[in-house]
Amino acid sequence: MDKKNRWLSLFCFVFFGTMGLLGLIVWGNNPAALWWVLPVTAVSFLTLGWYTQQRIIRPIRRLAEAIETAAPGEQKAPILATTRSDADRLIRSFNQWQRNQNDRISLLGDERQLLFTVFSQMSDAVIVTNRAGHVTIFNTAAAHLFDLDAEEAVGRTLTELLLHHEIIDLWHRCTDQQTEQATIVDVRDGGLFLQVNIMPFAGDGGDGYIVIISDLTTVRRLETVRRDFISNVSHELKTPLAALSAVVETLQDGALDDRPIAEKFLNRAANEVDTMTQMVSELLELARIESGRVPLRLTPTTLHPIAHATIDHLQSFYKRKNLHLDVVLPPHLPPILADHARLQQVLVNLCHNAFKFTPENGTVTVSAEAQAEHIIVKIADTGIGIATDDLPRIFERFYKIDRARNSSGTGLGLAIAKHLIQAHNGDIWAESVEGKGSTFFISLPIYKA
Amino acid sequence: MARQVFTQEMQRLQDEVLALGSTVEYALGDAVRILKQRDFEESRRLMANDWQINVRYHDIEQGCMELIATQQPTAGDLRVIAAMIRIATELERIGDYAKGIAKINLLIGDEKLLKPLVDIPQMATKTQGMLHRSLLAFSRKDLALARTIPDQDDEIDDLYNQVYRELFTYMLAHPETIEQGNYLLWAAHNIERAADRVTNICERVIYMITGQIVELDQSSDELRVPISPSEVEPVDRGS
Repeated sequence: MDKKNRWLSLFCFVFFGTMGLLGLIVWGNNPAALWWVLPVTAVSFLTLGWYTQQRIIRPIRRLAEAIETAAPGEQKAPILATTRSDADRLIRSFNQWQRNQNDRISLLGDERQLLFTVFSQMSDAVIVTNRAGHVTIFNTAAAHLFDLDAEEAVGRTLTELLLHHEIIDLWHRCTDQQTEQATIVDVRDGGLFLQVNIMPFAGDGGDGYIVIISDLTTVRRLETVRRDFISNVSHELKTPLAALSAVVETLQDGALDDRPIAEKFLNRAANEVDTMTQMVSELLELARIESGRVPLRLTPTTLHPIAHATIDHLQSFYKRKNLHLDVVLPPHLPPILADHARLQQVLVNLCHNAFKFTPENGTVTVSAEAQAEHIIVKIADTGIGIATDDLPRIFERFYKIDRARNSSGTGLGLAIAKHLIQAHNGDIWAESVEGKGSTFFISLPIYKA
Repeated sequence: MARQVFTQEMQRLQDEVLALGSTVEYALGDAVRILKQRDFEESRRLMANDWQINVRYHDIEQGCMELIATQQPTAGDLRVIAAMIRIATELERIGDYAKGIAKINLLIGDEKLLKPLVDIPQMATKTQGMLHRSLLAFSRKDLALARTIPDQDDEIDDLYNQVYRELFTYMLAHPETIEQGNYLLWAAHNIERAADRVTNICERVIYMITGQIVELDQSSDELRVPISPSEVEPVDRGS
């Protein structure tokens, strides 16, 4: 408030106040002067009262009303300060304070929204409970993992929601010891592997517990595949190496001097070297296909020439084993986009497997049919079949079922087939009944010129 | 204030029942998996852990009794407490069945199994599923769910009959396998009984919600000697 205004206010108070008081004193000394003293005193006091009302009481009342009705965080129009009195200064300060407060609240709101977004987008399940174990925050990943509704979960207990004794025990341990606890639990009989961490927290907003659950199922599966791969590749390389080393030792021990025996051993050594060479080259090829470095020469073609070339290629094999081969191809099949040599390689591999695992006098059927968008090729045999447990893993590198372990082959054929078919934008899968036979399916998209 | 203590204690007991249920659910699955894998060490461990189930059960029973004695629960709450005592009892019994199966693994010993176990693990998986859903029905007070679960008991009964017929035929043909066949039958029987206990749990959940005692197990069959089940009238054990 400026100085001039302040002096004016002071002057008004002093002037009208003094006038009023003077009037009263004059009236006290000279009651006869009432006729002119009374109006002067009354006017003075009335002016003083009006001035007080305008300048002090009204602004304070408006301020009080504004404070009473203000809700936290609500953006409200500031009260108008009409004069320059001290009371109006109070109003202006209040307006300023309210603006600051609102800015702060909206900033906090933004931060909260950001945190909430981060929370919901996290891939780990995050659950926050109060001291009694009632859930206060349940993020989207948690809702997804436990197949629950995130909003309905709030307010219920951790036990009710997760219904898993090991997690419940872990939570009890955490509440007893007040230290972070962690464990890995197996949920739904191996269907889910979860890493669970529970830690206590204390803050201004109250104490509670944070539960973080990471889904390790995929990691665990990949780890198994990697471990098996290493163990298999070492095993597959070690077997021919052991044979080679035995051959060399025998030759060193004197067999070298016996020409016919030496030649026999050298032939065996050459065979072992061939096996290893084939395996290493298949491994390299698989690595190249997997990394997409094998260019496919895709041309529009029909299945017929590829299927016939495959059968010609394998003729000697199935005839030797006395197997029946049925080829059921409809005369007109829509064209597909394929690399002739690569697709033939896949079919040869699948047929070769079918022949290998089918006992004498069994039947192998190669058939194809056109569906809406795809051509489905089926290679069915009446062989030994594949156990349900093994079925999902047969396309992994070196995955061999015990009975296949003894037979020849590198264990890479199906893995290569899978990647080649995927490179054709197709799909490959198998169905099998143990003891009755297996059927391998290839689905390839129909070519539309 | 007293009301708040009461609500908290009720919640704690309900959570304890669920924790007991989950423990038992996994014990049953583990017992059969261990039997399939023929792991004696694990069997012994599972049998030794049975005391934890018993401790939980006694804790629930004790807690419920204290609530009745000190808080004078009203009709609805009293029903919940009564149901919790019964459900905990049934769960403890299922825990004993799991322990029984673990013991059977030890009794069979080093002998090779007559045939790979397929139907018995399947029975266990189905029973575990029923038990899990009955616990959900209890915690969510879901009447519809509690009413549908016992229908799945028929599938378990069918599997049991199948196991029974198969083992019986095998034992007739190879009398030297009677001992092991008998043990395996016991294992299957234990699971079948466990599934019946789950039906009882569902009955208690319905009682807890509606106040009505219903009999859901229509094909009650404590004595089950069917070579062909149609020849034998089911014996009602009346509970």
